[in-house]
Amino acid sequence: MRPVFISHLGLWCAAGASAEGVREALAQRRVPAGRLEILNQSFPYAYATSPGLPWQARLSEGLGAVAATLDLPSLAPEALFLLGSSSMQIGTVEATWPPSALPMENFRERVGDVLGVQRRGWLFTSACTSAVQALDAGVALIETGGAEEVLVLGVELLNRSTPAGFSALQLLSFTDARPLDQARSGLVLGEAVAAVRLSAKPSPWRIHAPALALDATSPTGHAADGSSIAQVMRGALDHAGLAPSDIPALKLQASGAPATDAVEARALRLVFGETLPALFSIKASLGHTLGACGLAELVAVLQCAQDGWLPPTTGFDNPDPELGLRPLQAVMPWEKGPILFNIQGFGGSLAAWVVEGL
Amino acid sequence: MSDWRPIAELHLDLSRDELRAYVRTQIAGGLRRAGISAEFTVAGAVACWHQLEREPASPCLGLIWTSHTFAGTENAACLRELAEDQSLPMPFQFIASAPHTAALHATGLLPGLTHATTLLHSGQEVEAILLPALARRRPWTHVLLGEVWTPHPWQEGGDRFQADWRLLMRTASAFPTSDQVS
Repeated sequence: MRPVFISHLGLWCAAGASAEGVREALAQRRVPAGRLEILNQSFPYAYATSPGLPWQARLSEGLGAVAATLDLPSLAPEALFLLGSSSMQIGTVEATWPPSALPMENFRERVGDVLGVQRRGWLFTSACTSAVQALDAGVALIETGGAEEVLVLGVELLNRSTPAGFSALQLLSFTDARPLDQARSGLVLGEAVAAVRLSAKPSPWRIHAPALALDATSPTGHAADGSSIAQVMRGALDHAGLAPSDIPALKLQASGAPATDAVEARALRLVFGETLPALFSIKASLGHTLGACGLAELVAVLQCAQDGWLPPTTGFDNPDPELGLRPLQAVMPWEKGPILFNIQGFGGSLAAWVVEGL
Repeated sequence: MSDWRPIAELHLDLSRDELRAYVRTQIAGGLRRAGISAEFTVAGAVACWHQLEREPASPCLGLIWTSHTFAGTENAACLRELAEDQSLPMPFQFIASAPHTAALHATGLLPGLTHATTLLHSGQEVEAILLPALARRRPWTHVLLGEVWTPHPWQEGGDRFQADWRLLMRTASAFPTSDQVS
């Protein structure tokens, strides 16, 4: 298998539209201040731009922001373009209701047109692991010689349907996201466009193949004992040829949802025992960006790591005795080495992967 | 020589009325709290698998399928609640709008299912390019490839549920080595 490297990063989200902005927001543990009204109920929401901006304009702004750092003119004509998204272009359907057609199926081509990148590829949709599935395919294609270069994007934009669904499931916080905190009360959703360019050519970040799994426990949760999440973490370590003790830092899924944070905490004990790596979650600064979150959080963390530090956990103040976890509350200096990433989603989807700073 | 050999194929073209009966023949009792698109998807995948005259003792199965109109069809139900009735969708209705939930339902019905990749409108080149890459690290003995079309309410003349399923078996020489398996 050939090694795979990340050559370019791009991110547009509530924490910022530039690497400098994202770093500042994460270092300062900044919480997005926006609110979203859903049928007379008000929830916090992590807007990446003005709340009133139409969906198409949001897409253009987000894609424009990430394109600025991706050097797309240098992308080889034979490179593949993979997209991960959960809500896709439902925002356009809402805007034209009732629609004469449901334009969900040409989303990848539409994104490619806006970016000026018409390349072969696929759109992956698997709820919150959508972008990680695209990332996994991109890594696999380069590892096996099926591609030299792959552009991977995750796109999740403000719409009404998704927050309404999460509200129906009673998963949203009315106040703020507090990952792993004793007072955590639910998710805060957000929007993001995130991108990486993967390449067979060496660069400072090596990415190992993600481990993915299907956990049939329930449509919205995973095995309560943490075993399935532990399994994908071990799979990711195997792919990287590392032992748990080799991992100094771990970016958690931890969204602030009472039940799922607890399951992830149990999984950590199964893999690491009592000697845990430095833990952190950045969802309270970015919002939970659903289908884009795997890529958005990867890019945000690497933007910080490039600057020599890992981010603290926005929203965490008081440990939950039941979890027994104390994630980073201040910036942690970082030079190089492996970072483990966790993402869990609806539909039984699980993912973990390792990125090494070389 | 290809690493994968087709061993079963299934083409479905059903009306909405025919679909109900077809799902019942493939999945006893149907799928609990699943949308019609998930039922059609899973029923087709199961039917294709059961075309095997003799099922393997301990298969390791990958599922790679293209959902085409699934998301649009199922999201329409949620959107109607929100836009026309000014009410929240039912929780199970919202969950059912995610195409990947079909894979979750399939795990209990397709033996050895360990991985699912859900794609949108991207059937071409999946077998030639994507499958070899995804299968390289995974010890799949079989792969189900599917393309599924479900009608949506605004599609002119569209009440047909159509799908093409293919079951492939890995050739013995194409299994990943122990250091490649995840």
